[in-house]
Amino acid sequence: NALFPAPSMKSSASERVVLQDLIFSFQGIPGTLLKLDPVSLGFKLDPRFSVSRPIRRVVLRLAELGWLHNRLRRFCEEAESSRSLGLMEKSLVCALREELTEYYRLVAVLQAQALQQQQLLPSADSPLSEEPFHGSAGSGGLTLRSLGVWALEPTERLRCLVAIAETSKNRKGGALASAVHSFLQSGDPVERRTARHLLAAVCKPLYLMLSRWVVDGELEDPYGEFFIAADPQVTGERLWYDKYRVQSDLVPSFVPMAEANKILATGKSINFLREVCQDQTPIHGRDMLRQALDAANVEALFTSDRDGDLGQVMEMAYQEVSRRVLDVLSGPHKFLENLHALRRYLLLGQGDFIRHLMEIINPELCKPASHLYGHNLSGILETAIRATNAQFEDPEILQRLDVRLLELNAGDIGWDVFTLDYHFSGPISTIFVPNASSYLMLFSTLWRAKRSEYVLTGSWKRQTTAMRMLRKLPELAPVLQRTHLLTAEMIHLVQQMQYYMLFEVLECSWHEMLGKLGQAESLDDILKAHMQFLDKTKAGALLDNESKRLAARLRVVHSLVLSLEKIETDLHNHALQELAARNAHENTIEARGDAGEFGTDTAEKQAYEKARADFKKKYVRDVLTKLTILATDYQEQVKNFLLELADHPNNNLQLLSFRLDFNDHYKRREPRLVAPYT
Amino acid sequence: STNLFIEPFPPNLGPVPTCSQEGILIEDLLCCLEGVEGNYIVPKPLSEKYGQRHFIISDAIDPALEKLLLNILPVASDYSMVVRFIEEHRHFDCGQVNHALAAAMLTLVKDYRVFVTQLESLSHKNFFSLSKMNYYLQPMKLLMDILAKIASAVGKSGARGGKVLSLLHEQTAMCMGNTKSQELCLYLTQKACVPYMEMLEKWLYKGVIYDPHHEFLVEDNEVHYEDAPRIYSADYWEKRYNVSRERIPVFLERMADMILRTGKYLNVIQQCGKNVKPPKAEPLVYAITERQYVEVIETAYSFASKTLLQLVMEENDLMGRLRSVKHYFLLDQGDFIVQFMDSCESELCKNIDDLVPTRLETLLELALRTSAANQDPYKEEISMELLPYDLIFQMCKILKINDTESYKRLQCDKKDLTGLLAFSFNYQVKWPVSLILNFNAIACYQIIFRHLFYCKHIERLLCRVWLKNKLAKTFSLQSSQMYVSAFALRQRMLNYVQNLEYYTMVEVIEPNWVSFLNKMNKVNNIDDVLVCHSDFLDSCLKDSMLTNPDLLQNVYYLLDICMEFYEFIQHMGNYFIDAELTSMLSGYDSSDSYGEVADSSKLSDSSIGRSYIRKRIINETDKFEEAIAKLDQSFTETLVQLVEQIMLFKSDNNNDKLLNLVYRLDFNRFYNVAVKEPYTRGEEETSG
Repeated sequence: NALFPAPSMKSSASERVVLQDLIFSFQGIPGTLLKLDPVSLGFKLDPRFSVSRPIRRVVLRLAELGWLHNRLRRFCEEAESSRSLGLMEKSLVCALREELTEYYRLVAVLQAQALQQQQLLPSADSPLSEEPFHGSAGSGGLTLRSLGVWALEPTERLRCLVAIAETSKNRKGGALASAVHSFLQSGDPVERRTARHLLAAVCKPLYLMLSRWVVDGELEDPYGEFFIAADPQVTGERLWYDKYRVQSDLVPSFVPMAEANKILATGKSINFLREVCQDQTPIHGRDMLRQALDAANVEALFTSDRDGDLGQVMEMAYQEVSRRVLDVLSGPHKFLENLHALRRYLLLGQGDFIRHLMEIINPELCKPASHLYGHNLSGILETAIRATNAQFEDPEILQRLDVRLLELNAGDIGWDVFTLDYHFSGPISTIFVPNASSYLMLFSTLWRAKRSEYVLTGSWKRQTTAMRMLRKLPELAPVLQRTHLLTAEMIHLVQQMQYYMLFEVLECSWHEMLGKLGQAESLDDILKAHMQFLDKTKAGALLDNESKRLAARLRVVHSLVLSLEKIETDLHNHALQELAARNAHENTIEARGDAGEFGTDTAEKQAYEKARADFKKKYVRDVLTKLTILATDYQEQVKNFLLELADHPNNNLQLLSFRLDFNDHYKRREPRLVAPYT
Repeated sequence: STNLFIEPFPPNLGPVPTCSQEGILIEDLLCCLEGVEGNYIVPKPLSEKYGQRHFIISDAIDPALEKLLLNILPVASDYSMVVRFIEEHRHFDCGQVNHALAAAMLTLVKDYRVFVTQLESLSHKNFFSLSKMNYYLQPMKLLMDILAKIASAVGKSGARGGKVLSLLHEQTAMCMGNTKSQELCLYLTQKACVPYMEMLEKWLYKGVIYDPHHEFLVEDNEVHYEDAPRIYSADYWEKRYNVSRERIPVFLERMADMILRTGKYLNVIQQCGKNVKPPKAEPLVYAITERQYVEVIETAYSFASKTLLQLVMEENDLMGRLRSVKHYFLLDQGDFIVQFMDSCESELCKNIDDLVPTRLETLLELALRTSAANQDPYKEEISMELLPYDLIFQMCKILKINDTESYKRLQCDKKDLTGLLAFSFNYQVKWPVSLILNFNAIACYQIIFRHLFYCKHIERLLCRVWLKNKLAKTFSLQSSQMYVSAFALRQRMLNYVQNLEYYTMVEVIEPNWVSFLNKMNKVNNIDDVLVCHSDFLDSCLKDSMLTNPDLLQNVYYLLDICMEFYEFIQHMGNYFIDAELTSMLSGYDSSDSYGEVADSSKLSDSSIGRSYIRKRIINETDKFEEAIAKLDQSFTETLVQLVEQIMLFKSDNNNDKLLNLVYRLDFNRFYNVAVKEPYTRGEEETSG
């Protein structure tokens, strides 16, 4: 019966062959019985040999070891032949190689045992032996069974190694470390130990790069494996923002993102100090840090307690460097002084200076923009500085202050294009340059508001001083009253808006920022606080996106203020002329009377009367109409402005609307304003 | 694959003599013991995954030998089971505990395999027989038996994590009698516990959960509420971490709560930006007697709770904050409240739609800064809030009144809601104090505040009536008699309101507060603090009748009557003072009827009322005396009803505090004896 093969008479011989074959197969070498399958790298029994069922089982079971070995070896070979192998991959392969060497040692021992036993029992190859395995038996000798026991541990180890190797295939840097790290999640102590060993090897280059980065701020990463990357193009004030970044796909899973960002900040700060601040003094505690990093084990990197020694050392390094950056910025580079100067000059903090500047620059700015010359304006600026408290300012800061003309559009006058400017240089430009345009925008908004106030106070002054004089022109009284009312109304709005912007918004957020700056621990904190300050101030000055329509309305209001001024000065001049004419007329009459002549004659009287009537009929009526139109227009604008305010999401602006309309003056005229607030 | 197992036997053993048969069988058996099928002993296919493996033995064997074989074969079948278990549970998904258990079993299996090879070498010596083999195998049989039992128990139940440990613990406990097997079980359990205990250590000493396979008994349901920190703190304590019951190993069952809390405390401390360094981190090892790890857990717990308590009580000054909350919400700071009401009352009397929140806020700020509250370091935290419902509605909703009719009656119409009813304080709390002063606690404080605030308001209104009363004294004797009944009613109302307030503030809140303070001196951990605080709030709510909708409705009905009375008198006052003071000059003129005089627009202007719950008692056509009598009647009836209800309530619950209120309201048994019965008759007489 073919299905019941007789026990092979050569079986005892075949056990030795089988043993030898197996030991060969452990090293990936095909033998007489076991044939290598080149695709799967596994071993097969040669079908030409008939082997009893138990043996076949055992042999196939043991052949797994050879298969695992082959896979591992192929992984190593493939990895080594690849050119773009990173340092971390290299060290992985190296560690695997070491494991393989250890494995070969074991195989060699096995081989020695097998050989020894062949020499001991040369007669075992006897055709008379009945039992297949009997011949090879000897106390302590190598049998298939004991080979099986011997192979248990290496199989386990190789299995684990192969699994790690296959998962980490085609991975790089941090991702590789994460892949290996995932094997630490096993509860099996053997597997864990193996994975830990490999991970330590993989992380060694990473650790070195990390130490280098944290201590010296240098990136030594030829294969792009480190999770921090640099862009060599970027220098100067953008260094802080754009030069270095964390590559999130290369951050190992055992380094939390917050930690990675801190590491980034540490090295970045060192570079910032060196390149931007030109500060070469050694950072306090750097040697200590280096020692600590040298002393710490690589394994500290991936043991999961973050608050271990390594974590503390990193944290300390971060704090030291950040403090150093802050010291350098606020010490030799006068960050705070510059900030205060910006506040004083660009945000109109220095009242006497701004007022004086406005007074002396006004005639110049009323000219068309194309007739303006920078040097004239700089001269005026200089005069304003010399005449006010600004002269006591640090000369370094005054040097930075300058005037600038914005781009010209046809028909612009000086007011439209003039702006104060502030030159930034050195490390502080990292903080200020990205926001320079915000400062200019804020300045022009505040400057415009200031101008309206200036114009209005000017006309109020004229009105008040001329009041008594103009009583002699009774027909002018309604016009004057109208003008006065409208001026008062405008002054109220303009002043409240200024109060809101300068005090409620600017002063409050300034105070808030100073508090935050006092607590800042790193440059990033400062940048954040500064950014928040600017954002808040811009929102308050109606420069944010939500307030665009409001800002437009406010601009219209400001232009109406200017047209009022025009009417008012015109009126004032006319009135004074008229007054002068009348006074002259009376004086002549009186003089003539004194001289004993007739005061006036008919023609003269008629001409005078006519001029008076003309003034009353034509001019006064004309002005009155203009004023009425302007007043209606203004009221309309303010009402719309209030409506926009009520709709605005910002709560503070709603409060502002109470102040603008404190006595419900506009509310009574505009039904839409009476909507409930809740 | 059946043919893998049931391959036909090689040549028949029949002709072989028994003594030789034995040698062949020993070889076969050794194969089977290693999990390899033999020539004459072949395993049957398995019926289920963790089923017992059975063998087919060639039938040509000597029956005696076969019996011997059957004695030994269970070891082989146990081995098969154990190996199957190990292979399956080394899989990544099975969790760390299973990994560790499988690894521990594997080391034992290795010993076993070595033993089998030793048997093999023995078998090559002379005089080896199946009986000898049976004898040698006995200790291994025991080992394999236990391993197989554990394997099948764990495998069949598909247990993971804590449950596996529970099974192991039970197994260990069952082996109490047998030292050897107990040692074995202990070994397995200890090994299997290692990863679990590591997690536990991390949790107990660092407050960190490192649990990639979801095995640990504490679950982290971290949700990021970044935009709603209030909700976050309200839910945090309850919801962030919880114990998953089925993951607790039996031997930690008792400690589960303690374990949960330890880590939770540590977590809170860390979230406050503090680093935790437990004094000594002893490693946790499983032991059959609990002593060791219980002690370790207890020390960790007491450390964590002490640290957190210190953090909350001392660094964040919890008591100071609670005192500050009491100043504002429980009307503790008298001058502030009066100041505030003086400045806000006219504003608050408006409808909620006409209120300007910012104006109220400014007034609140003003009151805070001009009163003694200015000394409070936490006064910045107080703010105001307008709720879109009134107190009764809120309470009924909380107490879940399902009765549709009363619910309908309570349907809150926002149009009728005045600022007084909608107003409440709010208090900003920062982490970690918000653990204790959480959303719910603040809501309770708000409820009490609104109750007191409204009572206070009614009292102030009645006091204004009292001013009118003084004025009425200057009237002529005849006409001032007209008002006697009205002012007698005013006196009773004032008595009611003031006693209600006195009761709530002095007899309920103060004693509760004192006992709360006493308890707080003795607390040991933050959970105790939470319990104490919520006890305090609960008892305050309960004793001030806020949790009983029936009582509460009557209390508020009485306040409503007071309010209506005030409106009536206030309105009439404009007329009668004029009328009386002029009539003293120009003679007596009969008082006008209410309806004719009432200038409706003026009435609605001055109306501060809450007319939506009940109908007004007075009709517009009622005469002055009639109106007063009606008010008097419904006031007395409701008060009597309230007193009765309280008495009834008292007989149900032994709540002696409420009884105090009865003694106050009805101190001379006026309502109980003199009024209750004869009242209706007396009423008829006077009106008739």
